[in-house]
Amino acid sequence: MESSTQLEYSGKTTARRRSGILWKEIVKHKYLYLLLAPLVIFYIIFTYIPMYGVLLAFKEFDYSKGVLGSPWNHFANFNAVFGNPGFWTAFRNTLLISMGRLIIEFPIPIVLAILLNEISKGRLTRVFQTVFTFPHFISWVVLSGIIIGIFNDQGLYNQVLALFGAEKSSVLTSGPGFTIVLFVSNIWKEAGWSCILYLAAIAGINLELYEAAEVDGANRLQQMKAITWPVLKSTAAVLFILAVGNVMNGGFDQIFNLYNSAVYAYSDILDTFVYRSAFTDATGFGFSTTVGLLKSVINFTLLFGANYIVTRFGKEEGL
Amino acid sequence: MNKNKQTLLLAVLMLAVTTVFSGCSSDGNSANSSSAPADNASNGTGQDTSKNIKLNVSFMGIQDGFDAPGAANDTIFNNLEKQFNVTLNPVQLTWNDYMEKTKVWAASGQLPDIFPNVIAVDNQALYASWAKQGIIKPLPEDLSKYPNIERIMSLPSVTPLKVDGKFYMIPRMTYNDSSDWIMDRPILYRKDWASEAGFTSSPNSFDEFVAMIKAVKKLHPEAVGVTLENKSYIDTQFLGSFPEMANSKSWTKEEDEWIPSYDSPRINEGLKQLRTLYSEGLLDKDFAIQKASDGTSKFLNGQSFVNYGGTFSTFANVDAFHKGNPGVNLSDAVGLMSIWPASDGKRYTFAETPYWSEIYFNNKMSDEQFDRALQLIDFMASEDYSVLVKNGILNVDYKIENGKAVSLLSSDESLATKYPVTNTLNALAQWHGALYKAGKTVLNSNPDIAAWEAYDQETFKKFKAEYTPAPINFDIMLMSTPAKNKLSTSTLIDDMVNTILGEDDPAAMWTKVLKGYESKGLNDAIKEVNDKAKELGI
Repeated sequence: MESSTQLEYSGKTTARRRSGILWKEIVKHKYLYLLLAPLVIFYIIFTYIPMYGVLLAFKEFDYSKGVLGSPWNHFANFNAVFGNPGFWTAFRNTLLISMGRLIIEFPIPIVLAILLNEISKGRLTRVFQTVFTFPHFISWVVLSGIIIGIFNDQGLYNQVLALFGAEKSSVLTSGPGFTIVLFVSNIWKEAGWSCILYLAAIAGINLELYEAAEVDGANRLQQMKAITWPVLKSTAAVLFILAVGNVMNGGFDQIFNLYNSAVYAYSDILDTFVYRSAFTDATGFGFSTTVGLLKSVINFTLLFGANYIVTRFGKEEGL
Repeated sequence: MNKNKQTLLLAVLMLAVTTVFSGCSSDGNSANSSSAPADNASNGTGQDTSKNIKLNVSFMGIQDGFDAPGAANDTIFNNLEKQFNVTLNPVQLTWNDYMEKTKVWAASGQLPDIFPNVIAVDNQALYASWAKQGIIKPLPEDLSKYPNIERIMSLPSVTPLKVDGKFYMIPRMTYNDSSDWIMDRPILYRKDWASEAGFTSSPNSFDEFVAMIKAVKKLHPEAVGVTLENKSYIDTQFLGSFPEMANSKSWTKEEDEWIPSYDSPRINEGLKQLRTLYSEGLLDKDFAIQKASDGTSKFLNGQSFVNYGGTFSTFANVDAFHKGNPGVNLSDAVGLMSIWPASDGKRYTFAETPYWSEIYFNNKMSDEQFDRALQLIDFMASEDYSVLVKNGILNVDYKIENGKAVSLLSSDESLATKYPVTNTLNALAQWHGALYKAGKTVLNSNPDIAAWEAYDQETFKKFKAEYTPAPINFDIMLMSTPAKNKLSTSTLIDDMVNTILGEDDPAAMWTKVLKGYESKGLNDAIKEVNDKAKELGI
C-alpha cells in the first residue's frame, strides 16, 4: 500500500517536472510556437472538430436535428452497407487498385530519380525534370477530357490502329483496358512530381563518394547500388509507410473523371461509391458516413501496421 | 528579436488566424430574410404588398443572369420585383451540382427561401423525410389566394404527392397534360441520306430500321448510325417494343400484379435490339463514355444518321448544323422519325407526368415571406408570365398580327440579351411548354428555327392524333410506400449500358441485374405497392 502511494507520488512528480520542462521550452521558443499556431488551429477546426460527424454512422440522419440531435439507429447503417453488393465491389476494387499503385506506381519515381541523377552532368537534367513534373499541374478534369479524346472511337488511338489495319478497340469501356489507362495515366501525371523527394535525398550525397568509387573502379550500376540506393532507402521507407496508410484512397479525382458505368465493376472505389451513395442514390448520409468510417479505420490500421513492420524488420526509421 | 520585429510577427500571425477563421463565417445571406418599407401597397391582385420582402432564390445559372451586362435594365424582372414588392437575392446553382448543393444546404441549415429540385418523384424517400423533418414548408390548405397554384395542385397527377395530407412542393409544369411529352423523345434523322438510300418513310419494324441504317452507312461510311443526346435517351428504343419502359420510373401490371417496368421480361426485346445495334456497329461506340450532348454534336456536324433526342429550336444548334453541313438546307435534310409499331400494332409516344421537377420553400420562412413567395410563384406559373418570357412586352418586343405573335426585334436583338435576369430565372415556376404547344409563342426571327418549330408543331399534332401515349399509371408511379421510396432507379441506365456492352445473353445479364435490385428491397416494394393499390382500388 505504502509503496503504491510512493509510486503514485513519484509518478505525479515526474509528470509535473515534465510539463514544467515543456512549458519552459514553449516559453523559450515562443515565436516558433506562434508561427506554428495558425496551422495547429487550422487542423483543429477543419480536421479534428468535424470528426464528430462519424457519429452519423450510428445514426439515422435527420436534416432538422443535425448530427448530434439525430436519433441513434445503432448498427443499421453497417447492416445496410454490408448487405449492399456495390460496397463489396467497391471494397475489392479499392484494394486491387491501391495494391496495383503500390506495386506498379510506387517504384517508378525512385527509378526516375536515379536515372535523372545519372544524367546530372548534362544540361538536360532541368529540361527532363520540368517535362516530367509539368503533368502534375494538369487537373484530372482536363486530363480526363484529353484521355477520353485519345481513346474514343474516332480518337488518335483508334486511328493509329486503323492505320495498321487493326480492329478498333473501345479501351475505356473494357475493364482491362481501363485499368491499364488508370495506372499509365497516373504514372505519367505524378511520377515526375513524386521523384522530387528522392532527388532531394540524392542531392544530399557527397559527390566525393562517387569520385572515390570511380577511382576504385566502380561502374555506374555499382555506384548506384552502393551509394545512391542506401541513401534513398530511408526516404523510400517513409514514403512507403505513407502510401500504405493511403491504400484505401484509390484516387477519387482520377477515377471519378475517367470512369463510366461500363467499368464500374473494375473501377468503382469506396470514394466514388460514397459520393454516389450520398448525393445520387437514396441511401443518404448515414450510409456514406459508415463507408467512410470503415475506410478510415482500415487506413489507420494499415498505416500503423506498415510503420511497425518497417521499423521492426527493415532497420529503417519509421514515422 | 527587437520590438518592431515582434510586433510585425504578431500582426502576421493575427492575419493568418483571421484568415483561418474567416472560412467559417456566414456569407451574410441568412435564410431568414429581412424586410424594408416600400411605396407599393398592392400587386394588382388586391393582395397586400406594402412591405418590401427580401427572398433568397436559387436556380440553375441564376447568378449568370444577375451578372450579365444589362441586368439592371431588365424591365420584365424589374417590373416583377416592383409588382410584388420583393427583392430577389440570387443563390447560384448549376445543373451539375444542384442536388449535392441542396443536400449540403439542407444539412447545414442554409437552404435558400425558394429552391428547385427533383425529389418528389425521383427520390420520394428524401421528399418524405424533408417534409416530416420540417426542412421544407407545407403549402396552406386554402390555396384560393393563389389561383394558378391551386389549379396545379388539384391536377390528378399531382395529388399523390401529398405527405401526411399536405403538399410540400409545387410542381414546375412542363406541359398541361402527360400526353404532351410526345416530342420529348424525338428521333431526329437525316431524311436526305435515307432518301438517297431508298427509304422515303419511317421504318415499320426494328429490322427495317436496321436495314435503313446499314444502307445509309454504305453511302456514308464515316457516319455513326445512332447517337444519343445523352445516355438516358437510350430508353427511346423501348417505345417500339415495351413503351412503358421509355419512362424508367414507370410500373406495369402483369399477371394481376404491379411491378416496376424494368422487372418485366418485356424489357428483354428492347435490350436485345440495343445489343444488336451496338454489336453491329450501328450504335455510337462512344455512347457509354459520352458527356451530355456529345451525340447531338455528332448529328449536328453531319457525323451521325439518327439521333435520339435533340432539337433545332436554338440558334446554337442551327448554326452548328450549317457549319458542319455547308450548303445543306436544314428543312430538306432533317426529319422527325416515327417509332415503328409495337407487337400490338400501335405506334407509341413518350409519356410523363406534366412536370418532372418541383419548387420548394425553406421551412424557416416567416408566414409573411411565404405568402409573398407564393404570390410571386403564382404569377410566374401563369400564362401571362409565359407570354412575357417567351414573347416579350406587347408592342415593344412583339405585336399581334392575324392572331399570331410577330416579333418586333431586329435581327441583332434577342429576348435573352435584352432581359438577361428573366432569361435565367423564368423557368423557376414552369417551363412554358403549354404556351408553345398552344402555338402562342412568337414566330422566331431566324427562318430555320421558325421552320423547325412549325414542323415540330405539325409533327406533334400528327403524333398526338394518330399514335398512343405509353400506357403509364401515374398513381402507381407516384405512390409512396417505405420500401418503394428506398428503391432508387438512379442506376438503371448504367445497368442497361452494361447489358448493351456485355457479351453474355442480354436477358441473362438483366436477370442478374434484377438480383441486385432484389437485394435492395424490390420484392418488398412490389408487395407494399400491390397492397396499397388494392386498398385504393387501383
